[in-house]
Amino acid sequence: MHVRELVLEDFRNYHHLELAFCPGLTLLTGGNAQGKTNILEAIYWVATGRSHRTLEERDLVRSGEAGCRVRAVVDAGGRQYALELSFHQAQGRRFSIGAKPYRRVDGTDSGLYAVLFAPEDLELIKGPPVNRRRFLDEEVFQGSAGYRRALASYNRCLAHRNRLLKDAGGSRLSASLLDPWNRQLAETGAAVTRLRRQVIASLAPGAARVQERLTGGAERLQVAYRPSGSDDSGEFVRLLEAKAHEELARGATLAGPHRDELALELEGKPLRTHGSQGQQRCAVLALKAAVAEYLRSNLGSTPVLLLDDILSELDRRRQHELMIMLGTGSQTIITSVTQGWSHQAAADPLVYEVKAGTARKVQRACTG
Amino acid sequence: MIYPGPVARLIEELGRLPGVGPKTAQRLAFHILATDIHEVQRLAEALLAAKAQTVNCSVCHNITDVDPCRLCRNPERDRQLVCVVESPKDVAALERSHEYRGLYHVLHGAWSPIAGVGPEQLRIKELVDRLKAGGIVEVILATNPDLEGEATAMYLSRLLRTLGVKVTRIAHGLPVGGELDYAADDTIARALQGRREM
Ligand SMILES: [Zn+2]
Repeated sequence: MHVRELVLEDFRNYHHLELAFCPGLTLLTGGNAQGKTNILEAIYWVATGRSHRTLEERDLVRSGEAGCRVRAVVDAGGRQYALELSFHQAQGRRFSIGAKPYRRVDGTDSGLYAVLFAPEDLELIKGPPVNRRRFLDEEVFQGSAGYRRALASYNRCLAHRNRLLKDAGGSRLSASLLDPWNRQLAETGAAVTRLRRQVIASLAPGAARVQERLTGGAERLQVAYRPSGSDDSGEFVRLLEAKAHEELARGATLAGPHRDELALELEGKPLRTHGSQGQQRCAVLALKAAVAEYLRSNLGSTPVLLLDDILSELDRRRQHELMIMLGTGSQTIITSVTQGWSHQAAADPLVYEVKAGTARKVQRACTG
Repeated sequence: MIYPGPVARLIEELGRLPGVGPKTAQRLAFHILATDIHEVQRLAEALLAAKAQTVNCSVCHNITDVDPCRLCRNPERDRQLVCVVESPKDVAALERSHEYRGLYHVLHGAWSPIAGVGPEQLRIKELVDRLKAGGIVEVILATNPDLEGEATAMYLSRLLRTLGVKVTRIAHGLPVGGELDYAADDTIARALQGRREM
């Protein structure tokens, strides 16, 4: 799967922009604040319905305008169709695949998956556990409708149970009231826990391998799952029962996937507290590269890789290593202030120079 | 846009109906305005009659125009069997399948803490009273196979077992999250036949 054409209308600093892409590597160069990242953001938005820079869609709209639109023509093994996502301050969001409207922006419908590498990813390591759970739910599990159903069911059950605990106002809840929700929370929670355990087990070796190569074998990255609940619903119920007293006092459920942790460690020490900025950046790249690899082997479609200004943080050798590891199987779109990075891994990139809301092709005609 | 008072009021009233947004309310209102007066009269009378001439059955709490309802009065129904459902729509679905010959008990909802509905708001006390009056051997719990329906069934099974009746749950032949109301007749038949003691 790759993006062939992209049209932006009133998106960020672009009034109207049309770009053609190749299945391989595309480089967006240009000075700071010229709009390179906005192009990646647009592709990520039309693929996932999310932006890595804002939770407010009105931020995506060019100032002075009422709405914005992104149209991407994608190619899935020769079959071409258009995805169109728009946001309007009065009408809200609209999404269509081949002109057919869809309620949700989702790769399982559109076939377009994306992995974004961005400076903001550092929050994945530095931030609270909820960032890492969101990373699992939204990035790693993109394309898993089964996981999404399991998680939605768990979250609904959790909301019911929390409301029950809160409404009790600290006083005792009889077993007849609590048991039905304990059993169902345990069943739905164990299902989520099992799926997360599986996915992390297949992600961890890949992440360790990338980290090792980026650091010349010097650093061993450990990605471990620390579930708050259990894979086993019987055990899960016992965990809940053991916390019953505290749960009533706090009016909230204290065990389950909503409190899971994805532990990231270097040589047994938490990266968040013990890693240097450089080690943390490297680990994020390793994790994301592992996600790309995981999706490639688990989806019926290769994800588009979007690298937002992350190569500049690496020396030439690491740039080279990363590009080799990301491979040539995926469409890759990179932003960079300069062109002065290693071209060795991809000899013939398509290059655009981005300047004040325009993009000019400066190298190679697209033959793909 | 501003409409004359009576039209605005019609749109407002229609807009209170479940699943009817402002646009649909407007479309329905203009459809009614464009319709022949006799037809509109029939609709208005049907609305009033449905409300004025029906009550909840004092025995099973299903919606009825005679009390007790025709199902509860029917001497051919098996009076040892009571099937507990969430809504009158579920009774209709089970009746359509022609698979069930017992009586019903309509809870009028399911246990949903987030909707602020607790077991005490459902017709559970009335069910317990029916069982205490004697004659009922088995209670079939046919609440929906979703989180709320399951919680309701678990709650009831625990409560009703103490009354010395057999408590069974319909089999999960139904699609997950699917409602009885939408299930095909043969699915309902299989769900009933495959019921298991809770
Ligand atoms: Zn009745």
